[in-house]
Amino acid sequence: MLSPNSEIFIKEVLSYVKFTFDRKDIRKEFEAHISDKIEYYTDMGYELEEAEQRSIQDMGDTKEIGTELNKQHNPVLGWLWRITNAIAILLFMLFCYIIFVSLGLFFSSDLLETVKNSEIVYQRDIDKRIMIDDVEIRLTNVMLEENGDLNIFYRYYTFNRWGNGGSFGYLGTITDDQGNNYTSLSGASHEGIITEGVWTITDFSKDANTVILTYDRYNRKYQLEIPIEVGGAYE
Amino acid sequence: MEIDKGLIGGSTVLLLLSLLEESDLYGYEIIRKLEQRSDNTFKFKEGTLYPVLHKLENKGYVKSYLLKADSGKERKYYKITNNGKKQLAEEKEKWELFSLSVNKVIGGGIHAFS
Repeated sequence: MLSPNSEIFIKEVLSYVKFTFDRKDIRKEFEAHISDKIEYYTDMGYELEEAEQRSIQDMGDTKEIGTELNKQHNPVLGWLWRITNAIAILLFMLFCYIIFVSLGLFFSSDLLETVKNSEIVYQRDIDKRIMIDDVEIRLTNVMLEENGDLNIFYRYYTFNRWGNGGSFGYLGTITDDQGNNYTSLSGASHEGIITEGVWTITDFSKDANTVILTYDRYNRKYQLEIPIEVGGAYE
Repeated sequence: MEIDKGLIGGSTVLLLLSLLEESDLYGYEIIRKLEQRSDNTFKFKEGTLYPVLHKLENKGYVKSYLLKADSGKERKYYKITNNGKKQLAEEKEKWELFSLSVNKVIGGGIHAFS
């Protein structure tokens, strides 16, 4: 390590450099130089103290060096550079954020959360798949609320959603094992490469144990039964 | 004869870029080489080298990088860029014209130093 004399010299030089963020690098460069020069003199046979004194003297005038360095480490340009970097980082983060959102990663549980505010009578994870056109829709969760709303959560992913991808508002005919027919259907979704959504059937029958989806359109057919096992909890 | 030479201004850019064209160097090495090449004619104020190097870097004539020596000591090396090589050619041309003109003046048209 350098002695106090070298330290004083370097501090004096740095005191002229107004853009403080560059001081550390300049300090390192001068420390390396002075210690190289000290070695040069000690190799020539000088005592360490003498060697250091000569080395510092060889460096020149602190004011001259400092003011010239300050011209090259302009605070305006320095700050501009830092701000530009910061903006670039922010843009990158924004870009990542947009990608994450479009992948549906940030909001994957949002839809479930909104429903949870009201009373849930029954909820169960399911894993049923239906095909509509080329898209496989996975039904992931079924939830019955106290007010009679039956929510079916679904998820699908597609890369051509900007092409023909419509929304899947039409589920087919909805009935239950008691023979009731439901026509009142609403839905919500977060669209992206992964789309998550929910279909809500209002006034689901208290006596029903199974919801049946029957789809028969444009020669595509499926029928799906989802059991709703409320038991005694739901009256 | 010893010439006390400040490195700021003048022909310094030409000297530094010439050395860096041969190899990447750190500040202390540059000083040593300049002294050796000039047969110790130049007595440098070594600290004034760095504002010049930093200026060359700001102008894009050189680039710097850190390298650790075997001894563990880390040094900042300077490397000439393509822009720097172009600048060097220009500076050389200017210098030749300048020294030719000076010789003409002091030699009265006779090739005094040839």
